[in-house]
Amino acid sequence: MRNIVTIMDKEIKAYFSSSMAFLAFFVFLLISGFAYDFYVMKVHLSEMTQLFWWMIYLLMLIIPAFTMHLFSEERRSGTIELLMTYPIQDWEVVLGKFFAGFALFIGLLVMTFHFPLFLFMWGNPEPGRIIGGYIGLLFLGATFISIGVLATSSTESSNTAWVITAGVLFAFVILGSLGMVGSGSVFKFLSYVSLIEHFRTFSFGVLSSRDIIFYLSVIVFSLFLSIRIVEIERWKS
Amino acid sequence: MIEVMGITKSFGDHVVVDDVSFTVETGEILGFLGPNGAGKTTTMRMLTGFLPPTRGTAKVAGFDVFKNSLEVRRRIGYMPENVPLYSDMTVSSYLNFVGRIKGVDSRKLNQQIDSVLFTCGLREVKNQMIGHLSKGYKQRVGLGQALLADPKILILDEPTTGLDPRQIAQIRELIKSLAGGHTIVLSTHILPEVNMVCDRVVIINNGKMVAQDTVESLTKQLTKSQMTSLTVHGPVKLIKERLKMVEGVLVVETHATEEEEINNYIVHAQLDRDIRSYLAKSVIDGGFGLLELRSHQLSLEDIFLQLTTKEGQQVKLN
Repeated sequence: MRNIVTIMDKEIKAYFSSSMAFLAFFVFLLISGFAYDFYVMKVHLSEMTQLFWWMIYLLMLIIPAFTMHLFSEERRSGTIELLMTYPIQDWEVVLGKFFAGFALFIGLLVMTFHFPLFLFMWGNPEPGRIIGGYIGLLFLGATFISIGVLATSSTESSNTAWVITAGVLFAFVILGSLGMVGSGSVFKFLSYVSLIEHFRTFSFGVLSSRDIIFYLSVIVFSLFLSIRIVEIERWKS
Repeated sequence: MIEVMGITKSFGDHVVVDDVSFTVETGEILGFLGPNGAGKTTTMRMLTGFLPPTRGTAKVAGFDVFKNSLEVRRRIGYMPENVPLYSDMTVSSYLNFVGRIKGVDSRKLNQQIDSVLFTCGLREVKNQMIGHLSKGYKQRVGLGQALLADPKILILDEPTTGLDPRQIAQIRELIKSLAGGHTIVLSTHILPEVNMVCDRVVIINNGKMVAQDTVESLTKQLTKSQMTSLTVHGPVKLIKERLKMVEGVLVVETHATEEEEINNYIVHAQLDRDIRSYLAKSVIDGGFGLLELRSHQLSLEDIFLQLTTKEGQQVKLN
């Protein structure tokens, strides 16, 4: 447990010593701000649903940037040799890095709280939908991050990790859209597998166990696979 | 403390470490000597659990490096070649991170960090970013993180590479001071370092272990002839001829010195009798100036070359 916190601590500090995190935050908040301006100020919607969807698409580009270096940079600089020879287990390293990404993501979400704040000040939004939306984003973000960790654990290049993560996330979106096209069981499956389709119920203010289980399953699966990959690399003969 | 039994590492068809076996006793400093690419780093990586052996086993403090890797890692301090560090952390925060990972009790952590900062001469740079440090300081940080938590076993891969002579001397002093209480394996291709610091040496070449012994033993084993070094003033050819005529002399090597007319001669003679006084007499009777005469021991360099190169097998002839 202590080791997970130590790794998480180190990674979070690292985020703030480079300009990448600040830049990503800036871009995200700026574009979200434009979206808010459009949907709320111009179109006069008193809800955040459309804004949430915008943020999701932004996150598919931004979260890969949070996770791309987590293992890849350690490999490139050689620090992985020390990390792997310290008395720390592989799963502790993976979880520590995952939680660091998640903590950064939570920080980012908190910085969007001015949006609902303004909505409540000047409008009459449904609180359930907004709270549900944020909870959905939490799960969705954690899922994106876990996929990002999987990608970075399998490559030495941060850039490749970004491409793999963003690619996988968008692939799921496309699959999900395909699922909307028809109504057979294949299409139902594709719909189910889509990461962002499960967000819908959250945005309606509903916390469904089906969706929560889905996200948790993906997270556990991705992290489990990441741990395996790190272990296998250690024992490659 | 460390037992290596028939350890082999291959990457595909390429065999990098070939059936290497050696032991390191508790409190000993073992030198790992070999040319670049000999397999030193790979062997160390197997000991620390970074790479698995293809065949063979190794035990550190009684624990198998493959089956009980975590237990092994709890007991070692490792300084890899090229000293990889996190450049975006300060020296203190990095040592703090390493200390926590190594399980140092939080109450003792600051004290241990201070101690390491002092031992490695890092006090004045403790708040600097590692990325901004000179190579010498980075190397010291690398050694420092290995020392944290005071592990009983230290594995140091070329700890003095890239340092200036003063820094090298300091690190060697430091390593020597750790002997007895720590078991140390250090790899190097700087020969004098082994003489100065290590109790025993393992010589590796092309992945194979070529020798394992104390420097003295190796010297005795490989000394096939009695060697005497003379420095004489006078014409080279004539002096060489006179020396060759002394009974028992096998070969005379000549080396120029910086001064004109003065040359150094290494005389190889049979081991059955001490010919030093006969050599001296021969030079003086010839009317030449005998400036220096002493027994010449095989240097570690000679041993190393003998064992690792084909040319070294033959004594140089003029």
